[in-house]
Amino acid sequence: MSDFFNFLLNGLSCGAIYALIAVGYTMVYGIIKLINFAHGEFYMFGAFVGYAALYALFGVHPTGGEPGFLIFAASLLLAGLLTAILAVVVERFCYRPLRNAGRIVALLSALGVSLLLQNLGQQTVGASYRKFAPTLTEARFPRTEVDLASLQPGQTFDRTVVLDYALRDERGRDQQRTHAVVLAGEPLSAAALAETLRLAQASSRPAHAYTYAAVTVSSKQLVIVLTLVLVAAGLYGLVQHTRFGRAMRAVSVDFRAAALMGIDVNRIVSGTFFIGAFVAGIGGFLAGGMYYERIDPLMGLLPGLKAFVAAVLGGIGSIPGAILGALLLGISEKMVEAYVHSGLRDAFAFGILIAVLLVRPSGLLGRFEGDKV
Amino acid sequence: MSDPAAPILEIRDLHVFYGGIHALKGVSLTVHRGELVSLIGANGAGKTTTLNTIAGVLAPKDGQVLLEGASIAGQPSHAILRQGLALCPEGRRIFPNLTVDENLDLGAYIRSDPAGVREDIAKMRETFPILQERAGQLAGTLSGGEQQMLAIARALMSRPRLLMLDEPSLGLAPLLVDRIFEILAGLKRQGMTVLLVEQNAFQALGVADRAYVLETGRIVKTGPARDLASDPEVKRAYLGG
Repeated sequence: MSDFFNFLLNGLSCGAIYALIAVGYTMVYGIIKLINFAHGEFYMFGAFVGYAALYALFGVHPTGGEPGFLIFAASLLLAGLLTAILAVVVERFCYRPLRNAGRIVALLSALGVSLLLQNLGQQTVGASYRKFAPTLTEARFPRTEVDLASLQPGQTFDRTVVLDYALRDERGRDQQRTHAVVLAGEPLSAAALAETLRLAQASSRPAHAYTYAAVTVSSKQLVIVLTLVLVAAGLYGLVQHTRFGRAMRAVSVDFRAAALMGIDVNRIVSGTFFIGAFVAGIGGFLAGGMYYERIDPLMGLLPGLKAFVAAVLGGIGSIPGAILGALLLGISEKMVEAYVHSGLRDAFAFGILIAVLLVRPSGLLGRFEGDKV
Repeated sequence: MSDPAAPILEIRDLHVFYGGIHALKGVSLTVHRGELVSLIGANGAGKTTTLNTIAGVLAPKDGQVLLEGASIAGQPSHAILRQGLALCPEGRRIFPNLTVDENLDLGAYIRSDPAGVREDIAKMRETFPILQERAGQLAGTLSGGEQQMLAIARALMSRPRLLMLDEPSLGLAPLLVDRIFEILAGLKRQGMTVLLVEQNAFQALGVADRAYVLETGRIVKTGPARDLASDPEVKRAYLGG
């Protein structure tokens, strides 16, 4: 049973990553009815900007230790900002001139931008993936600390005891390490105790021993899910309670009438791209830079498509729908991986898309819109 | 630039094309401060095209649109509204997914005086009590007549110098049509300058100071509304007798 909940938490954080991409997809669709296929590349771009910021601007080496909160936060912000600016430029030059040319034309332009960004990425930074060093101290919760001084040879524990310590590398950064002290139910040998105390002694920062609950959530998962909660709350406030949000909602239903209210529709569209891409950019950095610890120029392809599926599943155009769809998709993927077959994960995701389109074309929270194509 | 002695609105020899169709063939008209001017004509005569061109929804091919002497032709709608020219569009075009109050707020989108906006919303609620009753309701749930009141109130929220109304009585029950024309008469009494497009020529001429008759993209008659109402040709063509 505890396995199930661990899979659920995994699925939730995976879904939260999809959600950070899906909200931008759905916002852009809501306002100009464009499926912006380049949105996954915004996510990729954010990951690379964050990578560059961490390692070039702030001098944290790719194999070095954790950057510390401020540098991490600054890199995250830069990832969001530069991605947002890229999106505004893309909208201005690749979509705006085509706004009256029909939706298929704009869609093709979006596909073109997507491929262009992928190829540009491969040409400039290379096609192979880069591995990140951990950017966040890995910890799982809930946990109970075991007092190192109280450990006795022959002692047994209900749960495995793990030592959390760190080693300083040649650049003076702490590299996090873990070491299994004793397995659940087995007696602690004198040799294992001695080794544990030696490692704790050698640790470059205070070492702690913990036992973990059967169901745990990791610090990375917490950061991702918390970010999504903040993003969702922020977007809700923005859309429902600000002048910009009112204008956005007006433009999304009737942009000509909105212009008659004095709303500069182009500015609202730019703003929507900015916000959606900002969220995708920080999502890319959190996912590639922190969660999976690897990035490559094609990393936006599959998550971008999955986020599109999530947005359709939830009802494209609806922000709560996109978040709900993304979480459901993430969770179901992990469940398929765990209980059916890991190779069927992606097939399952796209199977969901087909099923939803057949049964409920407007999605879970979408409003039915007649034929607009 | 802007000349206070000039008419509020003057359009000269306006030509507009819809694709290959020559929709307006040299329309000229003038609206002075405090006037209620009606533009009447049959379906497809170019009434809506005229208003849409003035409001910047359409761009003219040729001709001038002068707002107090300053040219506004070819500017985008949002810029034209900022210069004091509001259009209450045909078919009401309220925002159905927003509440009644949010619709009114959007009408005042260009304003930056929250206290004045609140005051105006209170005024609108006084003039249109239904807007008070339905304040928090989604505008899409209002009846057609209620939506029309909301559309007029929303257009007034920008405090325009000139209010243009496109077919405000279209599709409404006779009682509501009367109510709309009462509202227009009220606006005129308050000194609002109005350019009104109507198919309901009888009532439009009843409330207007002056009127223009538009036929297939050309102004064919103009004069004081009272004279046009008794003109035999206008009577035959637009007043059913």
